Amino acid sequence: MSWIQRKNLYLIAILFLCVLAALPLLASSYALMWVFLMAVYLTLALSYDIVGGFLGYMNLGHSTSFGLGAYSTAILLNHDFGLALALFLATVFTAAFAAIVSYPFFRLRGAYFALATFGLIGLMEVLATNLQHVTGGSGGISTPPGDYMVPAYYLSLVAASGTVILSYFLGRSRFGLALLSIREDEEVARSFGVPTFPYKSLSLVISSVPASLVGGIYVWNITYMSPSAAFGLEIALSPVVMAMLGGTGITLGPFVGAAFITLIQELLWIKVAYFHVTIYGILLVLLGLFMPGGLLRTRWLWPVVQRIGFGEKIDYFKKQGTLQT
Amino acid sequence: MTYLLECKGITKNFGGLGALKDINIQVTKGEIIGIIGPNGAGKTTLFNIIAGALPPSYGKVFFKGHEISEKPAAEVCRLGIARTYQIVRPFNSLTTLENILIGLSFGRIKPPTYKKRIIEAMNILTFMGLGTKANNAAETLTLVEKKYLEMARAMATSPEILLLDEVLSGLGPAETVRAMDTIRQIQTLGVTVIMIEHVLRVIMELCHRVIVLNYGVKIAEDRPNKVASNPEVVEAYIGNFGMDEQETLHA
Repeated sequence: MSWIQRKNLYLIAILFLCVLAALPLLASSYALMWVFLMAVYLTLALSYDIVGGFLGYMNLGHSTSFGLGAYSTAILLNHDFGLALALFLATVFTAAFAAIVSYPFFRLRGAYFALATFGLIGLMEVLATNLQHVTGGSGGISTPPGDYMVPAYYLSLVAASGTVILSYFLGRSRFGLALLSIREDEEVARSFGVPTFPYKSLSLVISSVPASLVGGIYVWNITYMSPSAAFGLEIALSPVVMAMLGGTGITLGPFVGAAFITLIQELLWIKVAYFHVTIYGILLVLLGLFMPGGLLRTRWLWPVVQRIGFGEKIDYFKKQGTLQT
Repeated sequence: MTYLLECKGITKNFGGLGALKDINIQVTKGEIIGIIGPNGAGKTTLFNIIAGALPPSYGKVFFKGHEISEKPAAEVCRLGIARTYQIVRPFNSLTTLENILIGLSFGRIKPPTYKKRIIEAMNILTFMGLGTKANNAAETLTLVEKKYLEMARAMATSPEILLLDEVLSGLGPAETVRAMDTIRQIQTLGVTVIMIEHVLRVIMELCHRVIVLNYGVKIAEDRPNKVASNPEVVEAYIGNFGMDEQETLHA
């Protein structure tokens, strides 16, 4: 397996992107839709992983950012803002919201944090249902119709690859190191000079940005958003399950998890609708019990991941080599 | 004269329990100071207060003449006070090198580039004898190595004062000698060392000055040989069996 090296991996990634970029010319709109949804989920899983994996705070309310981004983009689009401006403003709004809620939420830890964030999506769903004159209530909100599939597809690709790059560089930056140290032991991190609160807050804001963007792109493409689609259980849990299934705290982890789950989901949707949410629940329990590190951290995959240098470990071996010369 | 570190009237109460009562300590640059005392004497509490992990109930801590007792731990570390933990607390699933990098990236002096940080981290690891373990996860190290990792991580923040909380306990005789050497070397780098220790031999050989705490009160402060013969210190450590026996006999 000597071809598994970082350089080749870049090559594979670029090839993969080229194929995806050429897809609208080749494939049916169903396939496009499928890849589009996968890119959306991948972005959500990867951005969830910034807080859930690197920082080690299980943010069950990550879909709040998705839903807020979607709703505010939809509202702005309905008020004749251009797509770019709508996406931008929606993202700024969502990021600001994340910054504000980070203040009370990061006073909590562990299960309490997870519970509080989970409560937030419940609150959001109620708000979206009841603020009828703004959000359209339980009937949902529609945006100007049109065939946006191909541009939306490209936008989602850009968002997904942007998030991959963000997560990749986060894994080897000073900021990422601070998040990892907070995950390991917050008190010790503080006593070694890491200003924990600003970093936690900032990581929540950063993770909200891709989710919000992708929410906006999603609603623009589908031209419809309902409270349950934006803040429901499915959109809330699937990124978490994806990240955990692949392996949290590793860029490649949510990637593998998202691919795996969208595939399974596709099969399940065809066979038994609505059964997949049950599957998520079961998967989450099983993962926690038997595979807390995720697929990539299993004994037979982890060495490969580390060799590629895509794990959380930076490949110091090379750097060490240069040191000794 | 401003001292490097000065504790003025430090008092700490945990609820009704008085952990520290009116502690005054002055530290000048370049010293190695030992803090000894029986279990529960308040030694670690004192460290926690100096390092900013706990606020004192009363009293103030000054570092180079500036008050630091209100500052959060992260800022105290950036000013130049680093600590180790009595029960080792490395960032377990990170590698040894990453543990050091965290100290380097957020300490008092930060090497400007990533590459310089790696080089500096490797230097520190080699200095501490952990060079070959750079890529091992911290949780896989032995206890002795973890103790060195604690010191290495603290040194990575380029401290002016290093607080060592029982780094030598649990080490074998040969390891103790090596660790003492390391501490001496740290001191020659211009770092002032304050250490909590139970091994009296180490205190006698290393420290310039010893502070003895008992039930949160400073009962002695002197050169090591004088402290060892101080009757109050002996009593605190060994107890006053003779007197107790007489008293119980009379009763």
